[in-house]
Amino acid sequence: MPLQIILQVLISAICTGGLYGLFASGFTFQRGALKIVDVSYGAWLMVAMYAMYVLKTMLGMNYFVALVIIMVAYYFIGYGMRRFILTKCASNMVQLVATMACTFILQNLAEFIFKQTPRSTGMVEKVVVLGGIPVSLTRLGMFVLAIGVLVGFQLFLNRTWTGKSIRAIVQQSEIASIMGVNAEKTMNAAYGASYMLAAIAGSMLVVFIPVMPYSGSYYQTLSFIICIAAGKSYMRGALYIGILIGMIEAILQFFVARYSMPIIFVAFVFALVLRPDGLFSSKKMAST
Amino acid sequence: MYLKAVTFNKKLIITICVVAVMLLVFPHIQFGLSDYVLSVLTQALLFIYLANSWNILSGFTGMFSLGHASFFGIGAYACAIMTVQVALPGLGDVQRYMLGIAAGIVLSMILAFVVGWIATKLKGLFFAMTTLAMAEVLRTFSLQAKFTNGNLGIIIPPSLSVGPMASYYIILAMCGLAFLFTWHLKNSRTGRMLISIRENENLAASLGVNVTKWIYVSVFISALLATLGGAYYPLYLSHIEPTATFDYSITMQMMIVCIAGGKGSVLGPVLGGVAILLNEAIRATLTKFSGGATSYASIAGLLYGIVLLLIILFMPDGLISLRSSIRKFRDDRRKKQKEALAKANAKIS
Amino acid sequence: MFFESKNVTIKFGGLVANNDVSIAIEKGQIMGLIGPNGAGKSTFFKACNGFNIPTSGEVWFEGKKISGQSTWETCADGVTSTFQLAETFPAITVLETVLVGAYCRVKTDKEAHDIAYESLAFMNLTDEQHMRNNQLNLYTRKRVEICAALATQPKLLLLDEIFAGCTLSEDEELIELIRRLNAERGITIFLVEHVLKVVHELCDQVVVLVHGEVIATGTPAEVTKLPAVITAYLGEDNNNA
Repeated sequence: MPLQIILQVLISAICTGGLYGLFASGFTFQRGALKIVDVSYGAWLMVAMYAMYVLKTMLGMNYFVALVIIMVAYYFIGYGMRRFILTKCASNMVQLVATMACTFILQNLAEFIFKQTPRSTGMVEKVVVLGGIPVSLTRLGMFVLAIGVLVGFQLFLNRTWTGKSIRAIVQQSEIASIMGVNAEKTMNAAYGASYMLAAIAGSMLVVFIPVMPYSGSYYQTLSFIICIAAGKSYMRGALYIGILIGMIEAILQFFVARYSMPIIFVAFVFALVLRPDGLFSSKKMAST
Repeated sequence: MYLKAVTFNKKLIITICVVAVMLLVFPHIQFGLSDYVLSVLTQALLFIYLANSWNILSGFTGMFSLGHASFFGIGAYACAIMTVQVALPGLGDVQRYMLGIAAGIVLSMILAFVVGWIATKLKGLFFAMTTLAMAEVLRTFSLQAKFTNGNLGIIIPPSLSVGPMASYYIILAMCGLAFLFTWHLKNSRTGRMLISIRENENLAASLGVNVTKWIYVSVFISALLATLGGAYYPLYLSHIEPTATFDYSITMQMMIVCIAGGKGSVLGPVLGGVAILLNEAIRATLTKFSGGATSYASIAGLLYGIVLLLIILFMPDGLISLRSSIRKFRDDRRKKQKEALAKANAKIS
Repeated sequence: MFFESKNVTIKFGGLVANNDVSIAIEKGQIMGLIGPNGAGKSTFFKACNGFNIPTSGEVWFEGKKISGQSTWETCADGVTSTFQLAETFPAITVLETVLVGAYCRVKTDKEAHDIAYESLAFMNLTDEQHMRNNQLNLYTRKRVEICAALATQPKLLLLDEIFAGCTLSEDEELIELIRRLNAERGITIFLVEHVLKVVHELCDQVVVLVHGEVIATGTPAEVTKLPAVITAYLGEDNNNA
């Protein structure tokens, strides 16, 4: 197989993987940092994809304008999800069931409105030939944007007052509120921010992958796998593993297209049992 | 003495008997609509049965399985494939169907072993999500693989389809048996072992409960029941396809019946079946009004989701806890009134 | 030897929780394990009942090595333990809880119920048998936990700080209860305790654990007079010996 094709597939896979990583980081952040279980995240990704479809293809808006609109909307959606649903849940398992119900609601809503026909934005990717290899500038640009967003998010968490207070709240909410942090509002805001990641990922994904009502579940499963494999709270790990999975998926698609998902899943289960704290964690298994 | 379940009081037992008789006799009463109503009841009974199987793993043992549709689907597909796709000369359809049941059980037990193993290593959330991913994988697999005929599914030959009346009675019998089984299980040694694991695994272990063994037992029993439910499916429906079997909407419906009724309780799935019936009624009415547009299946799904959400948020113990919830609500209110009164008195004096 | 730990060392990463702990208990004794907070008492306990695996060393019971095996196997061997913060089965009743313990030894429903009722009677919990655990107060929950442990018909009972949070009268009742368990049922008791009065009244022998090491063994009277022990509890300046 010519080197060029391999490279082309790889580069494209890395870019897609970057998007997976972006999305999975959001989920990882929710689970690890905010200690919230939200399996409707995938469904909301699907909704973001539809939203971009509606705004760009049906209403003819400019892509970037639409992106901003969706991002802002998703901040409020995330805020609302936490405030109205997730905090009313008595435990993580209840959150699980409740968000499953949300997923169900969203999927059926999408099916009702859009039916099962795949929708795509009909955008053409800008391809440039670099050293004999056709490279999609669009994908590359999105990859860069995804990395940028993630880096920005990390900086936000580590350097800003709000970011640090989020971490403080998760660790010791009572003490944090003594220090002048409004715990509930901050957490809701953090949650809203994590949903913005989904907004971005969805808006980008729909450019080259058509969306259907049940698309979300694939990405939800992926992001769950990535989150666990990376280690519950390790966002950067989520990015790396996302890229890795993007590559594995591309390779598998090439050879055993139909079984790529089961293979990834089985590999994941093995990884999970061998290193329950994540592939990157240095924690040894306690003997207890 | 230890038939505490019977202190469920005589009234309840009589109610159950009356309902059972009604269910038995019902198909013979003609209402004009009865064909459709019969099929709705059959569908509801199927999900009550499946909810029962889910209840054993998730309600009694406390391990939330979000991928239970896997076992159901394996049962359905094994029978379908055996009957239709596999070339077995000299065997009639019915015999191949029986072989299918056996094959389905074997496959399910293998998967159950894997799930059991995962259950001993991963707890709660991890386990739930892994089973979800597993069902998702099976669904994708059945969509892609050749011998499952992908999206088109498998058509069941007419020799196997038993007709609406018989389908109804078969599933009614299965439901009844499952109900009795669960009732017996709850007060048996096995049941108590499983419940202890749900309540407090560490304490159970220190009291001599072999947690590993009982987790496996729970998964096996639960999976077996679900697989048999799947084996029933080709008798009732003449077309087996991935979305109707492996999709997590199936697990969702199992869950909602069980959670709405009250998971971990024997009557729960039965009460929850009411939720399905109501939902169906709404969907049927909507479909009638819209002139038969099939997109209203999504509305049904939508309603399921909303009902489940509301129940899990506001009444997580299900309908069965309704009586105690109302009582608690009334007691709390009375207590508050007393306190308010006492405060007012204190202020005066 | 009825029960003994041989050079048990437990390390968590770089932290040495137990260092070369060797304790021997004779059948029928009431042995106490005392020491200041963080001494590693609960860690050691967990090595005895299977929740921890010793990094090195072994725990032996009636001629069988019990360290490293799972908790339920140890229970089947005759060693049952209770937890530091009254663990319970919240949603089920007292009777159902005790039944779980009873099923440890017997298989049939009838036998299990007999054992359960008998244990309930011993612990004076017959009146509460149909109440749910989450409706009970802490003290009753503790007794339920002990009752369930009793139903497993243990030879050795490990009690981890069961006197924590008890009022004076509850202390008295529990002391009496443990005496009865030991005298009437012949159950050997190994308890971790902070409350020294209890230790004095109940224990035949006492082991003192400080910073993961055994610094003294003997009767309560002997041990509490030792300077090292006083220092461990009260600090250098208070050492009057």
